Amino acid sequence: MTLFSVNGIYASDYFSHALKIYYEGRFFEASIEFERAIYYETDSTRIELCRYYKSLCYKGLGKYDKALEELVNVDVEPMNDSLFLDFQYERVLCSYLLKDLNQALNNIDRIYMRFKDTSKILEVIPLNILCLNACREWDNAQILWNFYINNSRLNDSVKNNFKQEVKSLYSKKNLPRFHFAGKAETLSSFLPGSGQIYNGAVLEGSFNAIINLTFLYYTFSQFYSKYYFTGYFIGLRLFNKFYAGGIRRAKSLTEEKNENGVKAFNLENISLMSRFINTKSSENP
Amino acid sequence: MVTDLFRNIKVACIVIILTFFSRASSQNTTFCDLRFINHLLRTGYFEEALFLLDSSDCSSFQINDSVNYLRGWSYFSLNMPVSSSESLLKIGPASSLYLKSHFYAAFNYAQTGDIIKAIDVLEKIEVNTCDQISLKNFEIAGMQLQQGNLSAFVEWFGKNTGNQPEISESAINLMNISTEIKSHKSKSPFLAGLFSGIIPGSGKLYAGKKGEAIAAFISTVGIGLVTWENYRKRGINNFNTIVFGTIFATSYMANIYGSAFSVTVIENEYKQNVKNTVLFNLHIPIDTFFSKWDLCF
Repeated sequence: MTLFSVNGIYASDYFSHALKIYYEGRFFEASIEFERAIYYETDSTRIELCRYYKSLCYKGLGKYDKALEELVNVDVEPMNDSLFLDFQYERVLCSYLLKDLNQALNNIDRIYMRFKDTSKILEVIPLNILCLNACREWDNAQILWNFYINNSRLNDSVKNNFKQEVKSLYSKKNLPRFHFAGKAETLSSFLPGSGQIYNGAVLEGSFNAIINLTFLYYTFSQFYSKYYFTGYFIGLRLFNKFYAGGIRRAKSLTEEKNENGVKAFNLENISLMSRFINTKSSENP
Repeated sequence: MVTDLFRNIKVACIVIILTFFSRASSQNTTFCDLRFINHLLRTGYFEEALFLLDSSDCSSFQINDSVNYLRGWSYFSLNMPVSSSESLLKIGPASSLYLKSHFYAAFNYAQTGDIIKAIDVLEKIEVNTCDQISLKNFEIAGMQLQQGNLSAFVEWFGKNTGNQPEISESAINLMNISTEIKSHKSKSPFLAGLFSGIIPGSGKLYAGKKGEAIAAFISTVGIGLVTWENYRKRGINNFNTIVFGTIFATSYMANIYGSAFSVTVIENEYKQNVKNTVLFNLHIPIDTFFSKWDLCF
């Protein structure tokens, strides 16, 4: 019993020490000290708190997978509301950063299921919007934006201004266009370079088309002149290489384009969110 | 009066005890906590363990053997064999960690390919029991095999009593590897080049790369046919003939060089494969042998 309490004193010291290092921004050292506190701690609630901070350290170090690993090993259901929310928020954030959108949305759902009081879930809504954007669920994201604005304590005119901005942000012309990889491939198969042009890479597509047409012309001209070996081994084989390469490039370009589009759109969202939060805090200090 | 004196003594005792505990507690946060470092190693936090060991508190720590052992083990887990050996070899024969550390130090040198150093470390290990002698002889035999010294392997392998369960399976594996090495016929890069000179791609076929051989044959012969076609219809001085002829000559020469190079690569791959298999079979016995040597901090 004495040993238990002495260990408790040590563990509490370790936790405070770790916390101090964490707030100094020395995340690696802090992660070690939190692990030390976990090792010596006997109280399960404090252990969970240490794990939470340890995951923040890993997040600070950019190791999102390790951060999530610390969080998923904890049973959050018996926790008090505040700790539950902190854990779930970090789980959502790490899953989002690791591009595991399904996991992020599942964790958001768990928050909504636990809290009936809207004031508690407001904190997680910006992340939910980003996740929905990444899934291209624009309508749901916009509804959530309006819900977020409506539940702020801003005056109606400011709310309307922000709603207007959200409306224009989610207007059809501003939304990132979805490019179909299959369509790009098909286009490139029929007309080399057109898959790239479909993705907006006009110069690259034109260059690809010119190269393919040149080799095709060369092949035919060699066959026409009865240079069959030259036509086949030089013209046709090189045409074949560029033709197949062009189709593959069209596909990868589409995937790149789709990802970058969502990324840029989410950056616009983050900028609007920052302005909204700043306005909220200046009007309700 | 006497009661007051007793009370004062009691208070003084409590103050002393509290001071001791608070010092102990604060010292533990800065002092080298070997028990915790051992926990870090067991749970896979190798970089963290090394960080704590390299902190000044641990460098000045009195129990050097334990510190060196944990440092060596951290480096070993982080796949830094030379640093690991350097730390492990600092452990003296009086320590209970001596045998395990020195066996692992030798294994580390074998991993880096420095077999002479590895055997030297093994030969210097002071062993007492039959099991330990057998393990030592087995490790030396394996390292001789890794070096390709088959007669020395047989000699050291013969010194084994061969009864230890930790060794028996790996011993069979090493024996099989030695038989395989004996029957292995090295391929000649010269022959590969010569074959490719006669029939393009055949050198690669000799090296065992069927797909590459077909590709090399088609492309070299194809360019050759193109050159011949241009030469026959346009003449030797025509620009196209010169260009395709140059491409063909380059492709033909590159194919000869490529075939010779392929054989060298394949031979190196074979040696690396043997090395890895031998190392694997050297690691298992020491790992099993010392797994029961659980250490307490």
